[in-house]
Amino acid sequence: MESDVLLVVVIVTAIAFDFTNGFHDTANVVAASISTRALPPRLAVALASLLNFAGAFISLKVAATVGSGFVDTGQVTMMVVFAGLIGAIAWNLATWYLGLPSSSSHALIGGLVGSMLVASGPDAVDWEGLLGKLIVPALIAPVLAFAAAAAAITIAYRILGRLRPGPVARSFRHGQLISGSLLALSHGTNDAQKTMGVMTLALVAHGSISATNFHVPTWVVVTAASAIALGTFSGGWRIIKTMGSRIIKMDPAQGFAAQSAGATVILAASAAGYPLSTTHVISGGIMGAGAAKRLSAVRWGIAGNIAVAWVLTLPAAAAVGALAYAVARVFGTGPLGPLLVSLVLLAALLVVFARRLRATRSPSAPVASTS
Amino acid sequence: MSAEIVEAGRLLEVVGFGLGATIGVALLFSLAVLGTVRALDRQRAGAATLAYGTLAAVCFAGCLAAAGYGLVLLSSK
Repeated sequence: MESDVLLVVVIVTAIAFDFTNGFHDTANVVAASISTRALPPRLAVALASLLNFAGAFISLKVAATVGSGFVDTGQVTMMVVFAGLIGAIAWNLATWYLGLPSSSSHALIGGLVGSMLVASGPDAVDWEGLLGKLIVPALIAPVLAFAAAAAAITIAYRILGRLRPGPVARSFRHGQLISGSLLALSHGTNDAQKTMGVMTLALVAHGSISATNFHVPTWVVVTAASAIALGTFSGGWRIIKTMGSRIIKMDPAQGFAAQSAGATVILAASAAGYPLSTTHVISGGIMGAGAAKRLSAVRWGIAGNIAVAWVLTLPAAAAVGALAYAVARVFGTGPLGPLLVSLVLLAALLVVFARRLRATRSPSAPVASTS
Repeated sequence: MSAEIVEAGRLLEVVGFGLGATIGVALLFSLAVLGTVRALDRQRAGAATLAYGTLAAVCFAGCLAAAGYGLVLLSSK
């Protein structure tokens, strides 16, 4: 009975994480379409939400990697999964508050590794898997998106440079409907699967699924797809602003190049089973599209802040995950500890939202800097 | 760093596909835009538009086909 209650707490926390993932990453998907006026903001977010939902059903390879590629599934407990999710949610909210586009995926894996370290020690973490399936692809992906977007925009400018800019811009705005849709679909494919993997990991720890027969149940796929779509629909407007206009001022051709590069890199990585950070990839694409036109077009200071948030994500989420595990474990192995930790996080969440609301309503109040 | 840990072949596939598909789609779409704009300009000037119109249609269809093929490939994995 106690383990059933704990499973429900973990699943609800996973759904909450998936929601924050969609909420936090909406910017990655729609910023280029909004800033070039290819789509009005509400429509862009609604379309992204729908395509995120659809994308979650395309493949399950990333879910398998997250569920069994980084930690010893035999040693995972529901408390470990819960604490890992808390680490990821806390980091997502902190970076949302500061308007920084950091990686939800790395926050999730960082949180999981941190709680696993405290629970079972370093031997329970698959360090080779972490390096080969997460860290190395994480380093390559944004560089790849940067190079692909830079090449794409160079080709476009070479071919179209002498044409009247008006019709060219209009055509690329239409093209962004396709590239933006593909990006949203690829985001749903890669990101929703991470939560599916973690939920399945909790089911393995509960004993509902055998560790030797790791598979993702259909209800997990539908739940994760719905949560990420709902989160996307709710939208993180602060990060949309940073991604859409503060890194570079984009023209529609650059938006098209950045989105195409982002979508192809994420889809290729999903097919290979790599849980990539969609944030890293699309930021790399946006910077590549800007730098190819003019190096000084990229606001490297903002790009540097984003890079710092990336570097901090894994250790910071791991630290919160480890702390959440240690605190929850004080109250035993039952659901009491996780419930109390959830309440503390909920209270912190309300304070953050109240402060944000006050800062938005009062023009004289200081607003947290996004730079 | 051991090749077994990093799975270099799989990573190279991702790099090749990411670069190749983006460049291919950008090339096709740019040619489609070129065809469209030139065809419209020639239509306004009363000249023949068939060649540029065909270029636009073929390249745009190529873009859509590439996107569709990518999705089919992904869902079959």
